[in-house]
Amino acid sequence: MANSLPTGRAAYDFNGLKVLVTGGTAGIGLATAQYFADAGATVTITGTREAPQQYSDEDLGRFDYRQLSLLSRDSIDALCASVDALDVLVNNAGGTGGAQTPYAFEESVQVNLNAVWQLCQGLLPRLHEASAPCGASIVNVASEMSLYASPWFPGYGAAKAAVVQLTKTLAAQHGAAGLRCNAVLPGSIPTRMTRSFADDEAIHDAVCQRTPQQRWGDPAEIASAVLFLASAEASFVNGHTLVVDGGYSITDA
Amino acid sequence: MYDFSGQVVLVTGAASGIGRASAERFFAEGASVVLADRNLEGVQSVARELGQDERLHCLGFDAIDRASCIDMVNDALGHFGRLDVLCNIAGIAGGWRLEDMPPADWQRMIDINLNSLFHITQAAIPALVESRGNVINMSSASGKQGQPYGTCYCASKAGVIGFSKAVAAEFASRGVRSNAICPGGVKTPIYDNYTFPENAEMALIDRMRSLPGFGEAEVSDITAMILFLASSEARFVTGVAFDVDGGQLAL
Ligand SMILES: NC(=O)c1ccc[n+]([C@@H]2O[C@H](COP(=O)([O-])OP(=O)(O)OC[C@H]3O[C@@H](n4cnc5c(N)ncnc54)[C@H](OP(=O)(O)O)[C@@H]3O)[C@@H](O)[C@H]2O)c1
Ligand SMILES: NC(=O)c1ccc[n+]([C@@H]2O[C@H](COP(=O)([O-])OP(=O)(O)OC[C@H]3O[C@@H](n4cnc5c(N)ncnc54)[C@H](O)[C@@H]3O)[C@@H](O)[C@H]2O)c1
Repeated sequence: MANSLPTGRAAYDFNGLKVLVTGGTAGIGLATAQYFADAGATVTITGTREAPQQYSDEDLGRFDYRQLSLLSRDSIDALCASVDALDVLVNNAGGTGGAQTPYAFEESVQVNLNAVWQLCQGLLPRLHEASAPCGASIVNVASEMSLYASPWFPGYGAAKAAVVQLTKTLAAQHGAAGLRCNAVLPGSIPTRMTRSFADDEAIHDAVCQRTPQQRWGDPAEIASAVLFLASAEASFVNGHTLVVDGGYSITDA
Repeated sequence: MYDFSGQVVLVTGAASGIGRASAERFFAEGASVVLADRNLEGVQSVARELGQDERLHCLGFDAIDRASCIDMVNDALGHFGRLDVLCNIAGIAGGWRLEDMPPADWQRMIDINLNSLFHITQAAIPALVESRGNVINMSSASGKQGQPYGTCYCASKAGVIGFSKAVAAEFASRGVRSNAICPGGVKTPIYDNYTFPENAEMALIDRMRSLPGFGEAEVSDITAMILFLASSEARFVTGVAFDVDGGQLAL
């Protein structure tokens, strides 16, 4: 990076609000959970392991922690049953299943699409009870593969494209009741999910070359978009997918 | 909730509606603001209401005229010596039946709503490159959807999106971001003079009006988006046309 990035964060106030970030143990989810907590929210995160102490790289002590496997309907139902109040749901957990060993198609659709619907269904009653000044909302994490084809991850791409459409459907279903639903669409962000790509110099550089801002993004830059969409600042934004990709998609229709 | 202190923001159309509210909010969030409008008395009265602070500078200009656009930008740059955010908001609305639209009205609307962005942005871009600043262009849901009697307005606002994305593509490597905003109908004075053409087919208009969220936005909904995109929170967001329409375009 030739030049330093603009810095400085907005002073969001999520005091008193309950936020659930699925997959908050790493990457985009962790950055989002941290930003919400910094803004005063009470944040619950989920991970696939039994206890937060099992994630030795990260200090997750400031969050309420729940175990969740998106592959298991029982696990999803148990999580939903354990939530007694909720203002903001961030459907972040998901992924390609590792660059070399992609989930099978059905598994990927379960993790990245069906589970999003199942969590929304399970938690909508709590969201409709919420009395947050910013209004309750859902933010889904879509993907560049919602827009582009990749030869490697057929289930992931199909599921993430569907998440954009599901976001609109939920907006249409619940807008009248004051519940908003939006999505963020991250460009290439170096996280555990993309590490094998980010570490491969040829792929890393190819992404930079194709991205007008000529760099990879940062998980905090996705968190910024999630907080904006969840805040009162976006109280009339509904059904929208906010692309945060350094301009990667400008060169396309 | 943001900190724009030390930054200079140029807002066109600042005498009324979305432009006025944006100028007021940027000022409240610490920025120095150039309020530019055809209605010079209008921006002067906004500045008076904000207490005539030295962080405010009023300029009259006519977006229809290239020389006036360029002079306005140069005056703004001369006054504050830098530019961080350019908000191209001035614009007009109106509906005509395609068969009846006078070419002069077509030309006028395209000049104000679209061509002025070229003149103003061209004059401002060196300063924006220097500050690694950003541009916010006011498009509309009409820039994405077809609206009856809106051939000219829709074309002008679709043009704004294309212009905005191309600026993003051309200047990303020099640190300048460019985004567009697509409101779906906001309660502002722009509709005071808006009349549908005689013999308009009301069924077509009613269908549009029945879209969820149509015409329900407050100006603060739009300014909130403008400030987010202008802020460093959106530093990886460029080339986007952002809907603020309560779901109108989602259905
Ligand atoms: N990184 C990118 O470039 C990028 C781009 C576009 C979209 N995204 C999306 O952003 C979201 C977060 O990804 P990330 O890049 O931050 O990846 P990450 O660092 O690998 O984090 C993924 C998170 O999801 C959880 N998770 C994964 N599979 C799960 C499953 N089957 N059941 C329950 N939880 C599961 C993980 O839990 P454990 O820690 O317990 O494994 C972890 O908390 C994903 O939806 C991804 O598709 C990422
Ligand atoms: N209000 C809406 O529903 C809506 C929806 C979508 C997009 N927009 C767009 O938002 C922008 C602002 O609209 P608004 O609703 O605040 O309107 P408005 O009429 O309240 O304000 C427009 C301002 O632009 C100024 N202006 C008009 N022509 C000019 C010219 N030739 N030179 C200099 N200044 C000129 C006017 O003096 C006025 O102060 C416009 O570009 C409009 O097309 C508005």
